[in-house]
Amino acid sequence: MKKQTEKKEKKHAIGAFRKLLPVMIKATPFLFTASIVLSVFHGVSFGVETMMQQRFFDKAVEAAGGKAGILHAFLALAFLGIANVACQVLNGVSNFLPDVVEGKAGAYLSTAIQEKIGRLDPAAFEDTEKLDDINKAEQGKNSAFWYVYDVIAILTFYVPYFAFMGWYLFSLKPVLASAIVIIFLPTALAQLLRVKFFSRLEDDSAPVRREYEYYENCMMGREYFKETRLLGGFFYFKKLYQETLSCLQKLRLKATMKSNLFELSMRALTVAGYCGILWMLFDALMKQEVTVGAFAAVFNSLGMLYDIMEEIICRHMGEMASNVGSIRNYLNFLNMEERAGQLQEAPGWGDIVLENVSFSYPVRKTEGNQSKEENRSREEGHSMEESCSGEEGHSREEKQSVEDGHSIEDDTTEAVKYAVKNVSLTLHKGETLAVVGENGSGKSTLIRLIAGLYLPKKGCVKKNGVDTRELAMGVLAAGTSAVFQKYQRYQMTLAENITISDPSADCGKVRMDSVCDMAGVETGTFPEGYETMLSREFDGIDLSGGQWQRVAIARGFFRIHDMIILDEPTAAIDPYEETRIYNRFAEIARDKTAVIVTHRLGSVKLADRILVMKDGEAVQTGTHEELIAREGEYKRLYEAQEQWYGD
Amino acid sequence: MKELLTADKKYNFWDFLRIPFTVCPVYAGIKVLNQAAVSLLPSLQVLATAAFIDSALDIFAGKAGQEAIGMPLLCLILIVAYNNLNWQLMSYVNLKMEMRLNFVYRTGIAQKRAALEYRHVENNNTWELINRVCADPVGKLLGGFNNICGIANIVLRVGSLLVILMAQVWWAGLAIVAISVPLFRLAVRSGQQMYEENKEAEKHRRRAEYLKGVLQGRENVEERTLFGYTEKINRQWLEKYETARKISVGVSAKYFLRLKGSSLITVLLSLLIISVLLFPLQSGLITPGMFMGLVTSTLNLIQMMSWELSDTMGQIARNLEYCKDLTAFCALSETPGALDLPADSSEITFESLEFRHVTFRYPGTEKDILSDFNLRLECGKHYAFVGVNGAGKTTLTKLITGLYDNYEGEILLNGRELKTFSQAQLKAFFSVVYQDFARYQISLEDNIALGDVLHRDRDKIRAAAGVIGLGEVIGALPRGMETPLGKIKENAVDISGGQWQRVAIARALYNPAAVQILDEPTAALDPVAESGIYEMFGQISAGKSTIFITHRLGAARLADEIIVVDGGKVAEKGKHEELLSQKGIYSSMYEAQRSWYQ
Repeated sequence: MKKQTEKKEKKHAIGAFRKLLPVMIKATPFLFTASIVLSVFHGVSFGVETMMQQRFFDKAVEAAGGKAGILHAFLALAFLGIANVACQVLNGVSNFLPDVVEGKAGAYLSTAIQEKIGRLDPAAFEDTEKLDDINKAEQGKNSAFWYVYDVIAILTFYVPYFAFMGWYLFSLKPVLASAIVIIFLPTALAQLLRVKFFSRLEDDSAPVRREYEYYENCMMGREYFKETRLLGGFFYFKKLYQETLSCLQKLRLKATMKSNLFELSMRALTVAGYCGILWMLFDALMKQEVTVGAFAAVFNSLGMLYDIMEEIICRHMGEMASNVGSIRNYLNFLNMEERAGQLQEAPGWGDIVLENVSFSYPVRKTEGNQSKEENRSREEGHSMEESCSGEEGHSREEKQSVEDGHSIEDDTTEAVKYAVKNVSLTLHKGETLAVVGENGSGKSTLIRLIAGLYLPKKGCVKKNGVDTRELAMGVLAAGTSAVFQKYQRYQMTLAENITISDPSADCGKVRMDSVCDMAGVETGTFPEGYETMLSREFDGIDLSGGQWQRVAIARGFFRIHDMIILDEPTAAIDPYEETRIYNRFAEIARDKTAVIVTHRLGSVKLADRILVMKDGEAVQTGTHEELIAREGEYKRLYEAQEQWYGD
Repeated sequence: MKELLTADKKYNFWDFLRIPFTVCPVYAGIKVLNQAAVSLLPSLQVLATAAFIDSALDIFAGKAGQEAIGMPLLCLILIVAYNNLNWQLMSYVNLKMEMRLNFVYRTGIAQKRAALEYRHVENNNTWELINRVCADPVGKLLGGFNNICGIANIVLRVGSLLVILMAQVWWAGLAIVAISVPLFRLAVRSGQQMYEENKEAEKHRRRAEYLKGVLQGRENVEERTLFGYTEKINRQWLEKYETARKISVGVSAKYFLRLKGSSLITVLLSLLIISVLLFPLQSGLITPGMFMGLVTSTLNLIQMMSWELSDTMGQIARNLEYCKDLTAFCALSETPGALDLPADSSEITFESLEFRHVTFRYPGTEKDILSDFNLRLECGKHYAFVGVNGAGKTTLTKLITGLYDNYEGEILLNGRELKTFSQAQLKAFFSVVYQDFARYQISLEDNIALGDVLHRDRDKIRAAAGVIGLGEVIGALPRGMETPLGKIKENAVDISGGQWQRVAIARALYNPAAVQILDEPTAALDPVAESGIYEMFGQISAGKSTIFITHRLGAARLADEIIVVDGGKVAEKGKHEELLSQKGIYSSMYEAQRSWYQ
């Protein structure tokens, strides 16, 4: 099983290189080629330097012994100097270029990622697995770059260097070439063992570290500050903090002691190899098979040979191994499906018809992952019992998904849980529809289907007779605007915050003034008017929750639309303001199609029709008067609210 | 210890040495000694190589026997061995030192931070500073420590090589000193300059990072897709990205030019020295072994002048910046007694709380949140504070609990000025469930137990949980009340937002404080559910003094007295029916809200 996965890893690693190389070359063809060529010269230049040193030493000793003229020595010195200068220049350029190439490639690759994200199905963001790929694509892009670069560096810098040195040593005395192998073996062995060892250490201590950092946050983090202080909880958390800290330290110490012993023995092996090479050199020198110059030059270069070997094996190979993981996310991301709709012709304003529409959020395949994870930890043969947390761990995968904001309540074991179930509805051109229902009844999902953000899993949504699946996203969205419940607080200027909803529109002041007026944004109170930056972080000002909400509403109004959706946009606004906004909204929506989601039943009086949602289904439709006259969900909701506000 | 570590003083470069030497003198000492030994190795290697080669040549010439080579060979082996093994030998010391510092220094920093006056936490500038200082403080401290060691290492290495060189050719050493002093200074200066220029690039980069978040983040997927702004924002992103990138490339190009410029100067100087050395070699003044040793050492200088020097010097600017931050952090004022445990609440009785002409504004702002605020609260009654957003309701809780004390006028607790009470006493008087209540990711039991850190009573905890409707949740948890909540612990279980809310309220119920304040912890609930919670809380805490803060009026009806806060003042107060009949702010707010629910 393990062999198989290792093989797979290898295949993946090679495949990744093949797939990524063309992408990287396309990003910066010229610089990429240039840095490859220079890299070869750079690698060889180190070897040449050693060779020139030997030549110079030999000539100098000959000159000292009177066997040759001092001019020869000067000539050899000149060559040594040239080699040195070339080496330094190449070294500078070769170190400078990768960063430049990375920067340029970064612009190209990030743009590609961003454009791709723009074309993804928004539902992909609800799928924890895909979300993971999306979130890690950016990081994966960097990994991909350095992965390709590392492979290339090995081929163009390290291989030429060691080849040259091997050849050079061989030419001095064939057996000396074996030095390369003697240097390679212990370093490679050490790295192989180290990878296994250290990855496990990280696995052990990561949960404890997280806990410890968490307790620190409980003592002094902003979200805990007031409460911990008032409760007098500092010492409680300090105790936990110091307990987990010493637990963490014990784990680390234990692991370090083990790894230290191991590293030390590996180093001893290295030193033994070093001495072996020294002995070979010494032997060759004593038998006068090599000159003193060669001895000194080779001996001087040994340190560098070791350093460079370590660099390639520990740094580059290690980096490659750690990068391969996040490259997988990147490649997955690149292969991710985009919205399939191709139709570029706008269907125009008309009725929106939902026919037996059902929608479910993607379900995670936790089981598969979990067993994989379990296998892995079993294979590594590691026991958690020794660690002081002493509790069987949940798989990391599971943790991840919990972090993504799903609480246990959401993760019922039902195979498919429809957020919207079999809803049929015709939203007439120019109609105002109110959608009401309790939290979690599927209101927000329904309006996403109406807006075309989500495509139904079953049934279809037709916009003026055209299936939303057929339409390209841009066309589908044309003419539709919305104020979402989780509206964004863009850290941009007020003008940008408003006009971002319609990137192609002209941003004339007249139009902005009119939407600000409608939404109740008092532009006069902003210190620099529309150019006020709405972010402390970027040297602007902070807005209150209510102000932000108004800006979001102005944003929704700014977009040219024949249909607008308001998803409970007034939660943070006080009652006066709320009344005003709803009235304005009714006015604006009068000759447009509009959908209001709310759980305040008073506001539905504005609507032509009310749709009542419960557990994903549309249970009732009708006007307020019709619905209140019948027994049912609407009446129940209404009476519950009445209790608090009735006389 | 604390005085030594987070004392309010000006921190400088030497504190990077002082603090480790204060906390763990032995380990720090060993580390410094090892560094010194390592830095002498290259010079020793030169001498050993020279001796080795000379003995070999002597043997060839028949001037010495085979045994003459033994000693130099052994020396070479020892040098190689120490060079290769010292890092591993030191790693235990390194780790111990880090651990010790984590325990003492990091905890010290955390303690200082936890005791800060609350205004520093709410002020964005100081908060950023606090975050900078508290992020991996030990790493930064050790970074500075190693930086000093690194500088000493370079100086010692160059110095010892110089001694050897000067013993042979006196002026060569002087020439190297003459050239390396400006190179050192150049490295320091360029390090600082790079730091500055990178800061400039960082501004653009931060902006680019933000825009990237807008383009890639999950939270704005809806608006991004519907509004289709990817292309436009991407253009803005690219512009910022390129600006930052170009500055960086420029900085980097200058860096490499300087770096390799210094290297080339060193190469030329080395060549000059070596060529001069050829003459004494020819005349037999220096031996071939010594010659090779000297050549090696001058060539080594080239390597050193290149990467190591600029790396080491480049770090100085960053470390000095940390000193500045640390100085500013340690100068931040603390609240005396901030970390104290609450006083025993059984010895405290709440009689009244009175605001007299209280005027308050947040430090560094212009606007009065409260102005001439007057109010008297009595023991054993339920109060509701209502008012629009920003009316100052939450600010009142911050004043009462002593988070801010820079108000004008008087706040009298039991007739005595609030400022004269200790933090411990205030903690015993008041409990607050905040709008942004804490979700402590510890066990459910501990979560509630935090309400009374002085006494722990399992039955009472269970009762508090039961009363607020957490019984079912506890039943469903794998280890009942002991189950860790959240996602930090390995076997933790996360609960829903509504359940967290109940946990926070249960904590308040368990809290023996005389005055219970609920500051809109239910804002995320729909109004019916919110009113239900307030009703339940009111019943449970019957006989106690409570304050509900809300902007939704349905729940306010429950209170004995409703206080309408508007424009930093008490605008109206009385019972629900009285206020309705007054036809003032309350009644119009109530009507406005009512119209939305009916």
